[in-house]
Amino acid sequence: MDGERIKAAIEGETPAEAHGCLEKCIDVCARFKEAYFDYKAKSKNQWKITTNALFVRLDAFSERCQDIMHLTGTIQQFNKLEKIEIGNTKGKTMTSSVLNILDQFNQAKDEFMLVSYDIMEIEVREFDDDFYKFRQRIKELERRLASVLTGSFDDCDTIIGKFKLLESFEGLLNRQIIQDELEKKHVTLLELFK
Amino acid sequence: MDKFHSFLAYTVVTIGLVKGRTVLPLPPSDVTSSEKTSSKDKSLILENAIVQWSRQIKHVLKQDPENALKNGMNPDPTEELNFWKNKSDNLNSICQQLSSERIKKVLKFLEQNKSTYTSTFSKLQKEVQVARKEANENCKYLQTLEGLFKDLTDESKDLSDVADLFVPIMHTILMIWTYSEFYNTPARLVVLIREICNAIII
Repeated sequence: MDGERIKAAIEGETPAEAHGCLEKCIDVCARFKEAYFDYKAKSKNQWKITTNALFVRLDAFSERCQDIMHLTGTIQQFNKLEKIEIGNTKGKTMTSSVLNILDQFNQAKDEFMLVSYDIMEIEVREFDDDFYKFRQRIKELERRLASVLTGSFDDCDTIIGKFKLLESFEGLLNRQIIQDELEKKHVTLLELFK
Repeated sequence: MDKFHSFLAYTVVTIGLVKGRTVLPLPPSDVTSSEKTSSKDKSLILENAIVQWSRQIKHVLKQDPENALKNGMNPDPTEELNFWKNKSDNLNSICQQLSSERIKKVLKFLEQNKSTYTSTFSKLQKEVQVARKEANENCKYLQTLEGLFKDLTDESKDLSDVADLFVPIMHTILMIWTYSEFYNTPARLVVLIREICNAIII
């Protein structure tokens, strides 16, 4: 498992593949720890070792996998924006701002991928800083996306239109910031049923 | 002449190190067996030799598999196998050298001359015996893991196949822990487990 392969998968537009691969890595790490603890139990308390020291690297690796998984997951979600087209009156402006967000996202992603180190090398401490910065940028984009979404939502007159809109943002709706914004709209949606 | 002898000794030691073996340099035989040198001088030369050997032997005894994990190195578990193989080979060769006629003669001479070095050296020899037994045993027990580690470090293997190795590996380690005389301390286990983790990560 190495960063080059992950990078290649992300740049080769197959983040799903990388995603699956990382999932497997995390699973393998967990299975090794599981095997260790099983046998620690079987050793009848003879293996008196502080586990922290044993698994420092393994845990760090597992964490890094999760971070990168977060990255590939985000990429997959944002890539869906490409196909979005918002109807109704303000549709055109809305669609173009979505595309603008997507553009900025790709820029942030490309900048992040430009780092000189191997992203799977757990000894590289800069990763955490860089990844934090990346996530901050993404959060900002999410906020903008949320406002586009709620704006279009209000703009839709029919309940069907509103649902269609939500459907097209499917996937991204799981993101915390967007979800928080949308929650306020749930009431409106329910009201319409009356 | 002295300088030449010490040069020779260094050369012998260095050649040994290149091959990964500890070679105990023998004192020049012409000096020690000649009638011209006084027994006091002889003692001095031989004592020097014994000091040198002690230093070399202590160095081997001090070797610890944990060192492999220091300095930011992340070796895989084959390192542990190699370490014990190497240490056992080395200690076996030292024992062989110590029981050679010429070294025996040196020790006998010093004993006869009541050198103060002999008692510490014989203590050291006992330590060597214990360490040799430990290294040989560890080497033998660890051999049972060799095949599993080979599969573990095989990069062409699929990740899920690698994960299937964990239970047999841990099982073997517990068996070793239970049955071996020496390979059952936390220090040993920590090194081995950490190296296995390394193998998973790479």
